[in-house]
Amino acid sequence: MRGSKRSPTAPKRPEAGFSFIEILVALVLFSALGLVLWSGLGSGQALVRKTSQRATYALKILQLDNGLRQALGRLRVPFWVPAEAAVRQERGRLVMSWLDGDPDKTLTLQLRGDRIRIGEAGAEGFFGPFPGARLGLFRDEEGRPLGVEVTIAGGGEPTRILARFGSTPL
Amino acid sequence: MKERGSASAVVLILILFLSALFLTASLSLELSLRQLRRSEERDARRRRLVAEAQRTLRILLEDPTPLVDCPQDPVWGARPQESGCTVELEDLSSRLGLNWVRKELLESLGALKPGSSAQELQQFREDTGIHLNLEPAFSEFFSAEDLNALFTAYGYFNVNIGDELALRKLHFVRGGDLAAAEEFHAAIQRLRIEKKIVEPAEMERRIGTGTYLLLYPVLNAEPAMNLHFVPAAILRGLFRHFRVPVEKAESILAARSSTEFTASDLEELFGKEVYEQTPLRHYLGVRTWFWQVQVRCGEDSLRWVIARLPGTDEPARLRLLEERFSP
Repeated sequence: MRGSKRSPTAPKRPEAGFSFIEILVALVLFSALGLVLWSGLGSGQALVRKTSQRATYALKILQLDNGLRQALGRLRVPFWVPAEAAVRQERGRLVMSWLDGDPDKTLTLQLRGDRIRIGEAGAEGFFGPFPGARLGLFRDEEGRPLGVEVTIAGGGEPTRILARFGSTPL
Repeated sequence: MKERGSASAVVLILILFLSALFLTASLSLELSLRQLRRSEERDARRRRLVAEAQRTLRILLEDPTPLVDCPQDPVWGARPQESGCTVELEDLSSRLGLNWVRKELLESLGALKPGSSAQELQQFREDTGIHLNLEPAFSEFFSAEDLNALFTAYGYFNVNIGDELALRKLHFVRGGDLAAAEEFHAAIQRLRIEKKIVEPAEMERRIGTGTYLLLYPVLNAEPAMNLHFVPAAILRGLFRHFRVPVEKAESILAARSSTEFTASDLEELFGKEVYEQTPLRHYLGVRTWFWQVQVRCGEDSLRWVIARLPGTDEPARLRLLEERFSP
């Protein structure tokens, strides 16, 4: 017989496949890798979501700031009218007359739920949501109202928006 | 094969999911940044206009003769610092205050539309109050051209020349007390019957401290209009009304673009008798109380209305009354 017979003393060729230990090690390794990937994916997703939320929030603040400035800039209270007579402050609401210099045209700033409404007859705009927002007047050192202050209690430092009226009392 | 296909689908979904997330985040970021940039750009454009307006006011305040405002003042020769910008200065107060002008003067001016009378206008003011926008409020009494050329809403009320019903209305607007306004009206009537002219220094004593604190500086005793800038038709009308020879008005009109008249020149210009016995010197003085500064740079414009507080402070005390920025 030629050739193909193994000698009984020759080392045995390893059998195909993995040993139990190898499988176990591989399983542990893959589980660890999976865990890392999964948690990385989770925190990445959270980061992206947070960034997106912050960007949207900043956009809303900028839109409110712009809307407020444009609306309040149209208030022209004549110099003979005491500023207090042109602004009425109620709970969660500011009513200002002399829009475009007309005593009968009013502008209302109001908190509706967590939204801020800037409105005049026939036109209104909603901004927000801004949970915990507060409306108030800001005044000069003599106590005369100069404009509106909106405080928005965000996650960290509260954001303050100051928007001036289009006119200043004499 | 099947298993390999499943793996690819999972990976694809994962990639799609992640891409959607990143896309949303970057879109939000992009929108916010764009809005922020727009807002910053708008602020920068406004600051540019404000700087020009402030510069104009600085030159106005540096006037070597602060108690006289006239066309020879350095501010009229000032050029804008930035190229592509224009600055316009306008005297807003040297026209008759339509909210306070007396009906006799209105009649002698002859500017009322045919069919309307000064009496009706007085009643209209009594019914509707004091107006900031003269047009359309007074359109039924005057043509749009006359309204803009002869009258203004930007002017202090003068205790000596204001219509007594208009002064009562002013008191009510500021105090909200009808009885007190009526009392003030009676005091004004007494002054008029006695032909007393209230001087700035004695105003508080004449009208009482409470009323003074309520009405000053909106009501004062300073000359309402500036002789250097008052429209020719008003100057002629006033001279006619107070029986000053019209030639004097003509000589003022001819000289005022090159001459700086001072407060002490007024007696000679009006004539001693008229100066002392009529309230003409309360209509015409040499200072401007309300200015409009309009700055334009490209398509942006800024309008400021500035009030000079009454008194003889040097430099003058100015206050920004209105601002309108149109980007």
